[in-house]
Amino acid sequence: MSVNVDEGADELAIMARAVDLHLPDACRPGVEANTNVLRGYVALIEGLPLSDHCEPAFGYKP
Amino acid sequence: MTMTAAAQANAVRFGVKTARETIEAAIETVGIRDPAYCSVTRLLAERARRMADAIDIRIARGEQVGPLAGVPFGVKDLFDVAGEVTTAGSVVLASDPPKEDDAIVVQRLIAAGAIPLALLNMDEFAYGFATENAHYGVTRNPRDTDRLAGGSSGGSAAAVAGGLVPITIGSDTNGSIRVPASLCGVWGLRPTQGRLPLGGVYPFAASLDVVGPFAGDVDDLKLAFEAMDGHALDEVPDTRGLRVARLGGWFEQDLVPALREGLERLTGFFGTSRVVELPEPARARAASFVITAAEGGSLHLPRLRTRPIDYDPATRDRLMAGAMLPAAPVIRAHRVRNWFREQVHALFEHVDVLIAPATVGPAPRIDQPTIMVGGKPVSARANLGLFTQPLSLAGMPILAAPLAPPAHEGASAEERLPLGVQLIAAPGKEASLFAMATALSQAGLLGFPTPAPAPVHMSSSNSGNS
Repeated sequence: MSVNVDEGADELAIMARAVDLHLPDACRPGVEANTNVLRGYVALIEGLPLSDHCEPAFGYKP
Repeated sequence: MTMTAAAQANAVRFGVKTARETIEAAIETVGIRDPAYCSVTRLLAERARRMADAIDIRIARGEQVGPLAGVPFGVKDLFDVAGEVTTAGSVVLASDPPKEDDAIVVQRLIAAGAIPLALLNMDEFAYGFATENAHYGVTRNPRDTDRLAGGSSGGSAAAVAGGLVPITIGSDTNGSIRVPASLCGVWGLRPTQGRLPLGGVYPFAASLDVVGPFAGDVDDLKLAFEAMDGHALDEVPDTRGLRVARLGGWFEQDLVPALREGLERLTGFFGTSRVVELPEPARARAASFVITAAEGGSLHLPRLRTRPIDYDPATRDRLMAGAMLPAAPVIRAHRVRNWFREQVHALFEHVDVLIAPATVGPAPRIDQPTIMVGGKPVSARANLGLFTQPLSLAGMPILAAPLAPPAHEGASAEERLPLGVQLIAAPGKEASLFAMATALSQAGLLGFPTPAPAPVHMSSSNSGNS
């Protein structure tokens, strides 16, 4: 998906625009902090080698 | 002292007390005790009185009225209750129309004779471990009102611990039944994923959401679960034959000494010191975090675009961050979930029940921002799910139980706070969990005196406006 980026737009604003979300100034510090937390978790799950045949758990059955 | 649900139902069924008297006593107790706890957000007094009167009429006619006849129960405010708006702890949904029907599990409890008496506080949209709600207040722990009740089903745990009602229901996505049950010293069950119907339950992260009961003892927990499930559990004839092990590694970190000793007593009861490790619990927890954030964020994105300021700021910022996650890591998280499930299920070929702590220690103080994990201070609120989140990913049933309080008289006030453990079985094996929990309760190793003594003070005013 291509994102039309205004000059000077920061990364958080780009991510928000990609889902048509406006970030009020009051939200930015909290959203940035939570985004950084999630980045850490994404790095953890990206670090686990998985077989190409390991499918997503959609339609999850225990 | 509040009677158990079983005792209350027997008193009603055998004419010792009417259902109406039972309900009136519960309403009075809520009025006396709950101002100190802030667990109740709405009292359903008039409906409860009507339902109690109907039960009394049926008893007078000689009709069967169910194993929970006249027993008042509390409902986390994300279950539909007929005639009420389901707020899910928010003001965002407050202008929705009242629901026409009760959620399916509420219907099933009513069919067993129980009576919904109160809607209960929670973290907004169930996204939290603290029940610090910007709109409806901070739910305080009845064991020490200066401490957190845990969340997100904090009102459900506190209402039982505080003796308001003997049974409540809540939801658990990442630990929202197990964490507050443990901090408040009551029993809770996260059933097998998909076992109980979610009809009429407001979703959080739909692929992880599970609903379940809270109670003051294991017998009441079983009664409530069987009513919600619609079936009696099979009997497990010989608990001594269960293959039991304790979870090590990740689940041994930073435990307070009393919790470590309590876990050893539990395995000792079964004559084992066996320890097993789950594969990659940190990555499993990370996958739970990512799935939760993405599913919750996606659910709320339309409203986050138009009315973000109406959300609790803490919830809103988490949901916004989740809504902005790209697809690739979310799909990766679901692949990790599949991998983890296969690894965990393989463990149950060699063991029947696993034992683990529910949290690292007792309830944090409300003014305490951090707890120690890995030798470092970390956010208390974000890490209360340290031991519950990885387990949610694989869908097993998990029973949260309080360790018995210390027997020695010299224990400090902090040492006398509840500590919780998790009993974990393979999917569909709730009967094994209840059999084991019953044996450990009868041996005096599990169970915390409930209700807590009546509140005597509140150290500070509540932060909510309801």
